[in-house]
Amino acid sequence: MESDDADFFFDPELEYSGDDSELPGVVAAHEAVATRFVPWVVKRQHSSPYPCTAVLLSTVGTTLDLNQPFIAGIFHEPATGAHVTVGRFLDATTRWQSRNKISDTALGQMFALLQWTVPEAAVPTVRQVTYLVDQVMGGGVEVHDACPAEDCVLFRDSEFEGGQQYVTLQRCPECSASRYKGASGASPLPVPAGRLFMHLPLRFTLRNIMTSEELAAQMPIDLTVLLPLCTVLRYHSRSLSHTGTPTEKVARREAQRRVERRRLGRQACPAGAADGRYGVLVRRSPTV
Amino acid sequence: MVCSSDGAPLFDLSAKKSAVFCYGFLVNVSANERTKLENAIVRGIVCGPQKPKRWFPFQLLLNEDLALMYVRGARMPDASRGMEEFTMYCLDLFETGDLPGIAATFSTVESAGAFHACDKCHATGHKDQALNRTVFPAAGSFPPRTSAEYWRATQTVTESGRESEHAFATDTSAFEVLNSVYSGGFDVVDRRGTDLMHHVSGVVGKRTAHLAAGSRNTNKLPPATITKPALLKVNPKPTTAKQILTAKRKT
Repeated sequence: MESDDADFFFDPELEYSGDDSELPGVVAAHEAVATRFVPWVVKRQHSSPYPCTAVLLSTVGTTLDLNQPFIAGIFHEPATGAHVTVGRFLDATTRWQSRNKISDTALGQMFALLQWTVPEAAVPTVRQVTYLVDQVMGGGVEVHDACPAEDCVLFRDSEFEGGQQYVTLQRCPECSASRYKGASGASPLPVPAGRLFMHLPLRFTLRNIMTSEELAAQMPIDLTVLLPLCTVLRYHSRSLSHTGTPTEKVARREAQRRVERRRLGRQACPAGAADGRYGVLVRRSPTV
Repeated sequence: MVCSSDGAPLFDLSAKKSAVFCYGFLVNVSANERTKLENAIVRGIVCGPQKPKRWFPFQLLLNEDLALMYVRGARMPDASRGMEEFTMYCLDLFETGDLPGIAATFSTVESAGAFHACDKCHATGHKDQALNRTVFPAAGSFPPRTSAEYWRATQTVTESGRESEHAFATDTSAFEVLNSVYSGGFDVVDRRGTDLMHHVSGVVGKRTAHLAAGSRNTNKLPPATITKPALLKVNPKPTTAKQILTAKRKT
């Protein structure tokens, strides 16, 4: 007799392939059904907990001070929300730029005009802004481009062995749409035609959070919270996700027994029952 | 971590949805801090004037990232301990979102007029020609769907690409990686919640985080005010331990 532990694990092999596929009624169904397994194993080169070189923003000095007052010399107290700082000026300028679809070149020319008009203003250059964005986003954002036609795939390499490895492809593997637009005068390099996905991996964002002392002080694991939580989740998922509700558990066990009964029914019944289909009911242990 | 997905316009509130955000809350952080805007973790932004036609590849990338943080973790410094290095691991407790967000995340139906209207039970409707809409039998209860059914559907690929004519209106293939990596699996039925007022308060995410990690408030207490000065009086003759031990019991 099987132990009940076998019911605790959902085994697709037991359900969709195996000995019952020899039965004539289910052979046709099994031909239509293919089973796919993706081995979610981390690639060897990614198995280290050091995914990349650490970039600590506190050690990187930028010449652009966002809290600096935009027009120096007017006030000497530290800037408050009522004052226009370089950061607030850049915020407003970026919104204005995106709303009116203004190129970075034109924005730089406007900055130069503003600096010419108001010499005491601390107008940043576009190069400074780009450098700042690179510093803030550097190592923190991975940008992937998607299939331009139907968003079928992201052209990226998975860090798992069985995952999607699409970073070198020129066409979508599903709909074969071309990944890049052609080179133009504005860009000698090919431009991705699909939409961009800005992915912020958790390892970078969590690292930024842990550099804040107030938040980091709360982050160490409270074992009195975690242990009951893990126990509950483990029990919960074992009891529900793999075996289903008790009703379904009974139904699954019955279906399993039915399959076993059919399989045994094809063999000669050791107890010599007249109807082989009920062999499992009268079967005895061979030692008896 | 409690993960959440939502759509929002960038730069212009009058425009249509221009980006889809995925963000998460850390449940280790105290209750009054974790749902603040500056402590929400942005996990990804899908740029573009329209929402993507397929959400699966984006969700797969996000879930692989979560799975990596569970399997491998990441080394990082701890500012509260003098930048001492440690390995942090992360677990996806719950998936929330508004109705379109959850529908995109789990590829469920957005409307209630589908053959499988509910993603948590087996209520199936039929098209009423007179009403010209899908109606459902007014039964007392329907058998609930289980997580095992979802995983079975992801493992089964038929010729038409669907399990049956009326396939489950869902595709949880992107969460397969979490199910296979997490010890005990990932229950897609019980570990997701739809929050109709998601923009307003994020009720489901907040409450689940509070249930999982406690709702302890770590705001600094106001300075104590002495309401009973009599409590400050010092007893000139404190009771000693010997007195207590040798005290006669009152009868």
